[in-house]
Amino acid sequence: MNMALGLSLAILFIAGVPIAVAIGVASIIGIEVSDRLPMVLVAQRMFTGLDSFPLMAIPLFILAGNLMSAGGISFRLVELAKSIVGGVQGGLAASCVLTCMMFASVSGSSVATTFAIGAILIPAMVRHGYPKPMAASVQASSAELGVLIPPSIPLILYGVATDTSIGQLFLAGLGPGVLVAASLMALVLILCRVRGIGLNDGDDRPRFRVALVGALPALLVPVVILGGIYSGIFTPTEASAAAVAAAILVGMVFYRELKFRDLPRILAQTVIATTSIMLIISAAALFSFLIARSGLPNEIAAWFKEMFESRIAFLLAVNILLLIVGMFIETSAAILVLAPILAPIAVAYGVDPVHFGLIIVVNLALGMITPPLGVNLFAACAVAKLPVEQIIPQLLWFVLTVFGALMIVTYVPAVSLWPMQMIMGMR
Amino acid sequence: MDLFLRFEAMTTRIAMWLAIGFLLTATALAMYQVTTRFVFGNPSTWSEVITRSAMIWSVFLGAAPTFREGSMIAVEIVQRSLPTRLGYWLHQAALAVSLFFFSVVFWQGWAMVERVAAQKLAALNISIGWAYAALPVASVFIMIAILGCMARAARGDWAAENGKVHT
Repeated sequence: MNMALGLSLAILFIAGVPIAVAIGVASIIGIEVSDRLPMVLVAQRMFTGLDSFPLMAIPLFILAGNLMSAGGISFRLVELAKSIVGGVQGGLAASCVLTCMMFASVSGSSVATTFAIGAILIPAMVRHGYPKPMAASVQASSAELGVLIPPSIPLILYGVATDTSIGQLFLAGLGPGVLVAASLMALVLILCRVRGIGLNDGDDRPRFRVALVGALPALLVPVVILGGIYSGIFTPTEASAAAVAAAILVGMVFYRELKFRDLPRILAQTVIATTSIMLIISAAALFSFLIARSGLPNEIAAWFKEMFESRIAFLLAVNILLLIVGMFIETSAAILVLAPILAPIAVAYGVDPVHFGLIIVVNLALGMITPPLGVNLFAACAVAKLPVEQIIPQLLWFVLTVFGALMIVTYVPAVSLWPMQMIMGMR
Repeated sequence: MDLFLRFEAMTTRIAMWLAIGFLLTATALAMYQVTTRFVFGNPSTWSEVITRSAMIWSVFLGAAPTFREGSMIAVEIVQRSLPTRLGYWLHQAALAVSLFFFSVVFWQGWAMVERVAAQKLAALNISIGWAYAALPVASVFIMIAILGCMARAARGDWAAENGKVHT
């Protein structure tokens, strides 16, 4: 059955069948081949895969993000970031990293972050003389922070798939998020200096105090979300509901840029973004059920134990596996299928399941900026109106930097676990 | 074919509005639930069940407009790299596979509705069948939307779009 599943999945992916459908059809073939399992599993597992309250946080965070982009919030965050780090050479690129970090604390998706921030900052960087491919690659790699800094859709999925506390995963995302942000900021500043780009970035930036006052209402949203989650008052789903309420309040009452007539468009965007992810989740639930039934996880666990003696070797193998997977497979599908198999093995090697979740997500986030299938690359190129081929030569340094951060996240558990324990200790 | 495409535009628009309605319902109930937990100290039990079901309805109904917009996440690089004629046939074949898949979801979803009709949703006097009905009902909308995609591609839309994208 496993051969049938794997082979049909590969063929369907390559043929361009939507990923959710490809996973579903591979599962149907698997059920057909097994001839012990009833076909009604298709409907039953696809339904129960979505029938979970934690997953409700995904549409709500997507909605909150869309409301924020339409409500003038992204623009204020950009101005604030520019007023803080925009004054130096390459300040605009550094502002891009910082804005993405702030936006990530309300958005759980890197593609949404790319569109929301890139629409403002890519044209701004190009105006200031950055080559277009470089502006797009700065944006594509900074947007990765969207899935590292909580809230994060991939972390929600890991939590649901492995029964790990999503609240703890969110706390643990902070350290790796700040690490990746700091590394990227250092990289863009160095690149700008070496290449002589961004000399006049400080020209049209606002004063810090002015920008801060303008951004105060916008900052209310991350304060509600992060404060609620970090203090333990909100579960992630509750935080997502509060985020929607805060985004409406700020956009409609404070900035008055969010109008009732915008709502149908925003809601339609939210439905489409939600469906395209949630259908994959639904089909992956069916697929994982079949995989678990087939006994494959045990075989893989036994193989790992035989191949890799130490924890370090095991983690390196996982890193390499996920890098390859991340280059070719969509993040949600990869997490839902692989996390339930790999997490128990990791625990057997003495890796904390929360730490392991961060390893998986940072790893797959790197896959979002590696060709051939990096969703952030596609999004950033769509915003910059740039053919994807032209961005690829620019990526090397960005990929290497995030890879370095990944190595630190993997082998220094304290980066993820220490901030989490600190915050939980303060409660 | 024009008549069918007009019909498809209408059913897909209906699916989108229903999906938005269910999304709003789920959002409002999730907010209501947060409020009850904080203001009244005990979270409402019925709202969570309906929130989950409304979300499932929204996701499946949303698939029809998602197909129409070409927003289903897929690996399209091979289709686009092939010569236009070959890519076109691969595109149609991929849609045919999707059509087959949702016909299975339709039949098996229907079977699940009949199987669970007697069971009630937790804390509510409503059959779970109403929640499961999202699968067969939405599948009808989705299949119409997929046929619409195939008809538009056959009319030449796919080749035209790819001429532009693939520069």
